[in-house]
Amino acid sequence: MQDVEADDEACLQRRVAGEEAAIGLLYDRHSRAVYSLAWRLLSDTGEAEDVVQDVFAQAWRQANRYDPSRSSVRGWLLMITRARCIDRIRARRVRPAAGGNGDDSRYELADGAPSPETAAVMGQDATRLRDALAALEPPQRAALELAYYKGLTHTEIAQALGQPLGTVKTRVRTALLRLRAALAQGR
Amino acid sequence: MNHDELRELMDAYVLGALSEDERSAYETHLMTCAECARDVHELMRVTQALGQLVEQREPPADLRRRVLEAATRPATMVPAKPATRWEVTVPAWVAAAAVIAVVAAGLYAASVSGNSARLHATLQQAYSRIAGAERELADLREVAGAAERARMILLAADMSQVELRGQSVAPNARGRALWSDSAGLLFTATDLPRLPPGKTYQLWVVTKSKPQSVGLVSPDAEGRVSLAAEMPPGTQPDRFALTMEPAGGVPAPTGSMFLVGGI
Repeated sequence: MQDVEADDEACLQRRVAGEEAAIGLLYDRHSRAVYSLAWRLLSDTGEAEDVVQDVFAQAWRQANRYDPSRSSVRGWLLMITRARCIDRIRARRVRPAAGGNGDDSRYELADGAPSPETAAVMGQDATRLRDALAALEPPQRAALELAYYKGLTHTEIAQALGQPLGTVKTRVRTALLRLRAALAQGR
Repeated sequence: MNHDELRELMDAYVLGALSEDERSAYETHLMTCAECARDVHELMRVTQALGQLVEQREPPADLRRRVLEAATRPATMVPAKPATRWEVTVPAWVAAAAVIAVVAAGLYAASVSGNSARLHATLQQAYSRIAGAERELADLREVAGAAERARMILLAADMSQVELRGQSVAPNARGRALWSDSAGLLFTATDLPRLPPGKTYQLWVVTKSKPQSVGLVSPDAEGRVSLAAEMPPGTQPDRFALTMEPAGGVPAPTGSMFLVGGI
């Protein structure tokens, strides 16, 4: 009886150890990308860390929902990251937080070449996209960036930029279509 | 909403700018429209690539350990204190099953800590609590099968949980779906409106293909329902939905949605 119990415990411990190794591998590969996006969207290191935790926990629980035909693993993790960040952005509007501790002011992409770390993370898609984004007309780029990097709705963008809602919708649509075309060129 | 209006929502959907209700409605549309699904798929590539354009920063070193602990922690199913009425007044057999869930979590924790004496004691506790719960349940012969299924689900290592929200026809309604691929589905809900004559509530599981019916439920006098059901293995739910349908149920959803919740 003692032996059986010891074996059972060993099995469970091995399962946990195996899980930790696998999640650890996923974390080592993708945590920087997830954290960077979370920080960019939330401008707060504490919240960004919480989001990283939430994202890997969710990805682990829902690993069976990952569909390789829809996205890369990193793409999937970043989608989850963005969704969790938007939840927090929306919650902030209801209960404004004490204020972030990061740089909230700029919403344009950094000018010039990306840092080596960033370039290493960017795949071909991202490089092509970066060029296409820079090539957008400023009103379209501004609308898209507010939508994507600030998580604003169309209505909120219209208010922020002082533009009609219809104009904002058209600009976002045009931006998305141009970017989509730029990505499609590579295929 | 006609198809043109739905296509208008595509950008906002892809950018995460739709409200919960709009998002649910839109995803339901995607289930049945290959054209929109294909376009959304293309746009998702754009948003994924946008996510990789941000300046890269190194997360703090201690975050790794916290993430590993959080990801391997078992899901806790019983709140520290009951926050809302529905946590307190669930049907008796679900409450008994919840006791088993707490004990199951304790079992897992004890086994992970590697302390065999503690494991032994926890197992003894578990058996006596289950026996106690079973004595209570023995009187309710008609729910004995459901209770067994509930217990299997709550103890399953692959148990998942989804909260369902009341839609505009029933904003106060709340639901919860617990399921495991191996053991089945346990669904409970509260504050559902009384059914008009000739109507029933029908629970659906929405997967990559069409919605599948799980079963029919009728609320008690206090608007509560519970249902334990089998799900075909490998079902992979995206979302659960409760609609009102003609009595006897229908093969595909036709009526208003009362509860919706997704992963």
